[in-house]
Amino acid sequence: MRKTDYLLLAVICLVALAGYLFFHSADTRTAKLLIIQHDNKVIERIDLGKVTAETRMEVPVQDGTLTLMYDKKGAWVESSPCPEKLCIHQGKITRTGQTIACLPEKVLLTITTPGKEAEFDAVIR
Amino acid sequence: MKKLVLLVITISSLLITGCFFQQKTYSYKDTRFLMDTIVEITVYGDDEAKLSGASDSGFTAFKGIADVTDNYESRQEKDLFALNLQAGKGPFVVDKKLFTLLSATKKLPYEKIDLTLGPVISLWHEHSKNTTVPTKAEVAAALVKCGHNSYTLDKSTGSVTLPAGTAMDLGAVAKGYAVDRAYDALKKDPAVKSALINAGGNIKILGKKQDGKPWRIGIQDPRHTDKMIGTLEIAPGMSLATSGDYQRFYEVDGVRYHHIIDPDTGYPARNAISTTAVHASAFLADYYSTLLFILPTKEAEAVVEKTEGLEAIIINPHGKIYVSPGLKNIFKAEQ
Repeated sequence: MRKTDYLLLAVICLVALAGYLFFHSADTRTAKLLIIQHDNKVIERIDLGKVTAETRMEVPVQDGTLTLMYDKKGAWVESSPCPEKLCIHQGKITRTGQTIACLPEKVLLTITTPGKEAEFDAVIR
Repeated sequence: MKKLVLLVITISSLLITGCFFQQKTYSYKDTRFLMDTIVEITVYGDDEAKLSGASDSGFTAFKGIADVTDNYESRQEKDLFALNLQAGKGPFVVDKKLFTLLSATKKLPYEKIDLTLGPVISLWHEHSKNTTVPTKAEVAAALVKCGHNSYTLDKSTGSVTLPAGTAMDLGAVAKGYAVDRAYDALKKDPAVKSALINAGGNIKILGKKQDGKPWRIGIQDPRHTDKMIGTLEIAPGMSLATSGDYQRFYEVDGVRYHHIIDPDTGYPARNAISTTAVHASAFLADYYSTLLFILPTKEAEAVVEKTEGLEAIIINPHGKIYVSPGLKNIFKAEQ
């Protein structure tokens, strides 16, 4: 085997490895996205990995204002004009697949991942 | 040597081009508010254009059940709301879907699931609005109107007879039953290769996951929402349902009053804080998750052991976790 054969072999292996990593990296990203929906429409997509401070967000809803909070780890509902406050009881969500819903005010918070490889396909509680 | 180089080139080329030309699978997820909860249907298939329609067919089937099982609002003729208004007035012909659901539940033996508990549930619901607790006399007065076998079904006419004062509440079974019907609709659709239906924790899985890995369902810690107690790796065709005391509740003087009522006492059940049932039928998973929540722990464990096809996770008020033997290989506890 000549020196150039070894060189060619090394180049081919490198190209194959680069191709593999390129196509699989898109599937294995684990960054967390917070999706905020109101009345079945997405009103905000937040890359939690880029959040540097605890942030307050106010969502105008039919009975007033729903206040939600998020930081780099997750999100929670701080206050809501809904009667039973079930959305507040749901606490803080931090894991992909988790959701918080305020049914009376039609607000839905979901943590998901931009890639296909989510931590969970669903979360039950 | 040249042969070796050629072989390596060929294999590498196939690997790289395989990445380009592999069959792409698309997914489509739709979320709707139905049955007082969030319903999510995620469908996977090769033809992206057909997935939205497939998801719609699942929602149509789900809504078909939602529309006949709402006891708070009239949605159509012959629904549960209409039936409750007819209590004490003789047989009432109900929608076929509702009759089928009631017939399926009537066959189940456990008196701790009482579909006629409507008067007690309504009493607690009204008090929850003012954050008050009903008096013992109020609870007792509501409870005497209920009774596991107090309603009768007539298969020949499709009618239901409810005693005066009784009202049915199908909270223990309706969501699971609706999930099964959505599953049936998706299964018939050739565009759907796999799907996940999640109606507020009532879950059913259709087909294999696209990457060949098991479907992973996280079980949330009932007292710490940012933590999981573990993960269940679920096979296609299986269903899960969870009942808990930690979402629909209110507190008075530090005591938590949640929505799952023990039909023997008329008060919220206190034997568990979370129960998850796994079964091929979403209807039965829903039924058993509620039953196991109400029963004392030992009785609940005995029910799981003697019921074919049923597996469960039960968390008692002290945080002790029971995992039934059939789940031990697919339940991964959170480290």
